[in-house]
Amino acid sequence: MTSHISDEKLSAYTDDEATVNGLTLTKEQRQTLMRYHLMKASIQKQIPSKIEIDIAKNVALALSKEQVIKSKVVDLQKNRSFAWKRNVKQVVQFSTQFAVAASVAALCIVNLSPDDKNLVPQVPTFQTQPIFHGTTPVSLQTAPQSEQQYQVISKEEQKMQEEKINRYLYDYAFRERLYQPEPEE
Amino acid sequence: MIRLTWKTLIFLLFSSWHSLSLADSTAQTWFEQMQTALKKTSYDMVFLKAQGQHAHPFRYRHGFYKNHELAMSENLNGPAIKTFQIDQLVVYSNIKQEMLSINSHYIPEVFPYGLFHSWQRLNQAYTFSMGGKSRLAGRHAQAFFITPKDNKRYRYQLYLDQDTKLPLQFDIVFNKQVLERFLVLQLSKTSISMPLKSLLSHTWPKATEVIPPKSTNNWQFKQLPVGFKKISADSHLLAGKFQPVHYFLLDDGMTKISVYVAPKEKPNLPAKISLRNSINMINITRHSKEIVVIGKAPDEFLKKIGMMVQPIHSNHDHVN
Repeated sequence: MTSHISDEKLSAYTDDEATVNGLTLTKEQRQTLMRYHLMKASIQKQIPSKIEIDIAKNVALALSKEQVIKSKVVDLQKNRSFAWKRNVKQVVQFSTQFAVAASVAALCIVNLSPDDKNLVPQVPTFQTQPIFHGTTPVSLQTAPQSEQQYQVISKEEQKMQEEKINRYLYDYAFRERLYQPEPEE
Repeated sequence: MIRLTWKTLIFLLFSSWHSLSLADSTAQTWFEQMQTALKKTSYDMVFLKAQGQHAHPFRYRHGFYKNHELAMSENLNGPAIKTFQIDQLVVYSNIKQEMLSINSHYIPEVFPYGLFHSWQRLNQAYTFSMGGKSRLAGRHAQAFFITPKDNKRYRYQLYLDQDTKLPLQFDIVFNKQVLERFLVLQLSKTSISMPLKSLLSHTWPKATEVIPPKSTNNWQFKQLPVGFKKISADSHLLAGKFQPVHYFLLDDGMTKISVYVAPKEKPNLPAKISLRNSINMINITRHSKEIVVIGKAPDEFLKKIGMMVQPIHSNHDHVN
């Protein structure tokens, strides 16, 4: 027997911490999810390239936490290219999950991002003249990391964590693009 | 002598107040002239968008033909990805895939989001001030600052072309570091070009619409940081694993912030993640729920927003 999920129940499922796997979605909900999938497929080139580097960095930090801070920074620089290669693999894996949805859809989403991973390494480091008020261009922005983040986690757990982060980031990018300000006269 | 000193003091105070208000109105005039130039004139520009170590060149053309506002943006390196604007419709086009349309009166990926909001809207949370002069893309530029009143959000630096009033540079700045930069390399005012005119001869796919969910969001914001408005609130499923979430989209005119409330389940998310650009993501646990906040804002500010969301039926704000 299949259950039916109403819009109202979506919030209930959230509160009850239930999952909706195996439940039947309404046509509307299916269409909405399809759009999410498509948009997700369309923006996946942008998002993963930006998050997994940080995850790889956390692993690198975990491995090198006995070292002095300066060494950690150097390790980060070295691991960036490794993270990028691994990232491509992740993108391919992730994209296969949504290939079917993307191929059958009448409405197909394109890559909204100009990012092309194959070309990224060829792009020279961006440097411009210093601007006033003491601001200078930077290469990589990372917030101060708490020790909590440096806990070593298993590969499987790391993969699940990356997928979970991706889900949030795709949804964020999707909605951030769709809701544009109205023209103001 | 004393009377003279007091008169002088009052005069000086009045003069400084007058010059401040004059500077403010000048900043407002420049900002509004820029908005008019962006939307009402024809131009062609090549610009770089830089985030972290990466910079990507684009070309953007904008103009009017037969009373239609037309624009086109394309990346200059790698496989061509073009975006078109025909009045209120923005169409993404890629050789390998079919097209996608959304409703928007500008191409979101070209100019920063905040440049399309009114002075009054932005003035709630930001102050505007004029800076010095510079030279960019071979043109004389006027610097312009958009500074958060609470000093907790990103600050924005804008350089406008003194002649056309079009933006030549836009920086997102935090802690005296540039997180993102939009930089024009070449700008020319032109008449409408053939590629733009030809946009009217195509049939474009209808805009993708978001069906407003009927479901109720059982969480709420009793207050928001100054200038923020709630522009969307619903409950929906995240793609991929169909994870149900309560969702809010907040906007202060310069940035949009997404807030998610979800069941707490493994694997745990890191407390904060900084992306290569100015986007941050924070995760906190409250009321046994996972609260995730994502947006272009400092992580501490996102955390502050995350602490403001609470269950509708909760009388107290218990933080786990």
